[in-house]
Amino acid sequence: MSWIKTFAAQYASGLLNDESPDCKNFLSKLNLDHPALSWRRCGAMSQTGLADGQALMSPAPLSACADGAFAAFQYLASHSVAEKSLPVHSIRGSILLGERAQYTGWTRAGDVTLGSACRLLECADGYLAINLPRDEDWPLAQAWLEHELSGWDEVAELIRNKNSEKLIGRARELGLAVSTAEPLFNTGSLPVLDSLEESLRHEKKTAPLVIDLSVLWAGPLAASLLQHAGARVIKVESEQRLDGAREGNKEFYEMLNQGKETLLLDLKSKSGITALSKLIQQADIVIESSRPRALKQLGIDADQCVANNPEMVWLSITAYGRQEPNANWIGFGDDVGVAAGLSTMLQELTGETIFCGDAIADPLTGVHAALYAYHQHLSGNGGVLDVAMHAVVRHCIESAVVGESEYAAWSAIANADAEDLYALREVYAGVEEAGAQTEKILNEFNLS
Amino acid sequence: MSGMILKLGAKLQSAVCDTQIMVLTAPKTELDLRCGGVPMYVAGEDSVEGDANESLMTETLTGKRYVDADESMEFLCTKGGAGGLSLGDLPLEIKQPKALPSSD
Repeated sequence: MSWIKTFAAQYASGLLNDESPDCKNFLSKLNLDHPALSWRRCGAMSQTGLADGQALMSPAPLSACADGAFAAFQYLASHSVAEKSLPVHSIRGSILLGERAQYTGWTRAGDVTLGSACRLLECADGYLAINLPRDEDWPLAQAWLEHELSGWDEVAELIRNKNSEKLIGRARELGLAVSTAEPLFNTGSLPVLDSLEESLRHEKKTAPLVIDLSVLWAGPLAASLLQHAGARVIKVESEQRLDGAREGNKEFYEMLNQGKETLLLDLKSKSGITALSKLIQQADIVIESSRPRALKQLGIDADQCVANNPEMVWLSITAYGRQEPNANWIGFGDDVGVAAGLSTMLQELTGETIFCGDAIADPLTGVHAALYAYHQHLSGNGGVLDVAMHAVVRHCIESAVVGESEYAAWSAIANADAEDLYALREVYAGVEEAGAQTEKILNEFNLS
Repeated sequence: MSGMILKLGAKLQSAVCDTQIMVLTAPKTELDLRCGGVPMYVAGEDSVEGDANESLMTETLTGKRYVDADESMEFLCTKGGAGGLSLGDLPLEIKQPKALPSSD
């Protein structure tokens, strides 16, 4: 069991692919917690389990992977002299997992997610995670099941005797976030980082300019962490469709988007699209979380942008990767966690049909994506970073084997722990209304 | 007027291009739904033949929703193609996106 105490640091070192004494020394000083303790102390444990049952351990060292990924990010940030907006050393990666539900006050509900939009339901040959967070999803679900729907009971009834393969196929065609609990394995792997020793010696002194087109949680979180490390972040939203998270919990939105400048563009107009293209060409890092075809339909092509500016890092966050056919599949944090196998693992270990954490793939992806983007930026070589939420969760699951005996031991460690939960990230800047800096940015970057 | 009653969730195929759509909402009356000016047919059933009307080859985009003027019917384009959608000769329009979810 001794390896497990230093698991988070090992995970960090594995991600960085860096054996230098400097890196080892940095990571060993962080004193990261045992995976069972960080799972409990970040709040994720109380977010996992039946509503009237015990809080449950994760079936993989997810919180320690988040700690490790963030530790690796901290190591890179420690080499940059850019002014940090938040002492990066004061944060732990695992706190990101529990953050949202601590703001919203949501509580665990077993086979219903904390946000209540997603359910685990039984079909003829297994379980499906069905996520219907958008109002528009209910009409789509009616087309999916070829039946009018008045609520979840009917969905459960209609899928009970149907086969998962056909259900999943139709759901994907419709753009519904539906996944099977049996894990998928075809989303490719995460980028492998080259050792940065060389480039860190020729440190990049300036803070990167990040253009953040992403919405909801994973992408904005990656941008937020880059902002903590000194990046200038411009959050770009379309006048036709603001970040939906603005309508969610206000404090959580502020924490996630604090300190970012906000630019609003009319992406139905030629001038708006031209302004966006021009701005992107000046970015060091672009973050987006749309399906590849969405920006292509606007005439913006990631590969072309990187070809025009070979130092540009294009961080593409998707549910299942940019490759066809996965590129067209919709997924959110909860259903993607299920698709990676977390609920099947929990079922094997606990006998319960439940979700693991709160939209777990989102914060796990956010922290890994920030590391990859920052690393690639420091290396001086741009490129399109294909970070699939599914691949991130698979990577975390495959980082350690948690059998029945480890699971029982970890549960005991967490249940015996009486420490306070980790403190949430500090809120240090406000959030202005959408588009508050539009004029300023249009002028500064010569976009009009 | 030729036409058919469209079932919720039915998949329709264009006779003149790759376009495929799925029925999200439709009134329960016979509809003359066309792509490129030629009536569409239910995928998997006998195809329809006809010559495309060049002025209606206005293309469909994968992932977009198409509606008539009063939004009494709505279709999701599951596969884009060269033909445009119309009800008789009246073109259908792309529906503007709704707000994103506030949480997932």
